Amino acid sequence: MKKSSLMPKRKSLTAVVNEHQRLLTNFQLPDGEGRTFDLYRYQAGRAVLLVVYRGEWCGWCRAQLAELNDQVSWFRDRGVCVVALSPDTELYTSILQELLHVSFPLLADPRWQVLPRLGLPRPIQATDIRPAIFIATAAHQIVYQHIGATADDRPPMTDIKRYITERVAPIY
Amino acid sequence: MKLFAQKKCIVCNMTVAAASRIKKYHSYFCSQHCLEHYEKILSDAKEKKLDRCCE
Repeated sequence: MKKSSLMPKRKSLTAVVNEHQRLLTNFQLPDGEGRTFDLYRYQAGRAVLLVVYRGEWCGWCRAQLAELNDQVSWFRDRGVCVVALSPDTELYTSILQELLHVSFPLLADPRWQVLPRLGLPRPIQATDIRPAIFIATAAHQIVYQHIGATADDRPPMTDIKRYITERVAPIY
Repeated sequence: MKLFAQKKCIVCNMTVAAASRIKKYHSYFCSQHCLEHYEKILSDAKEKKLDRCCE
């Protein structure tokens, strides 16, 4: 996979967010199995790792979700639930669910109802969708975010795990 | 409050009656035609026919 030379140069945005500044507000979206997903109901008092992936068509996103699926029990053991969200339609979300057999919910936001609230405005071209990761506590405070500058700009799993071990799991 | 949630075809988004719907791949389909369409997309996706990025 080559990086396109036409891809605009942007800075990635990684921040340990002030716990009093941002809340992850509740939302309802369809999942890859045709059900309506409610974030707060699913969290049920747990922290959440929210992964924004670009779409079924993105190879980097597939690899990231597959890696996450392999290690999902690590997160669950620490009281962190995992959810992934993209602007794909329900059809393509279902296709990806079928392809990867992930054991966490994949959500469809084709009308961009939730993504802009996370600081991800709708780009003009679909290829400019940026990957992102958010970690929110059980009290829905966003304590970590990484919005990728490019399609392959994603924090390593070791960094996410270290952050959760040091900052999120003790809170839980 | 609805006792039974209406199911929609994952391909054409039409509401499908319980008697005629097909459930496969964790999704509902209104017809064999839609199921075949889904399987074609799934097959393409398995072959990694990525058409917008990463190429």
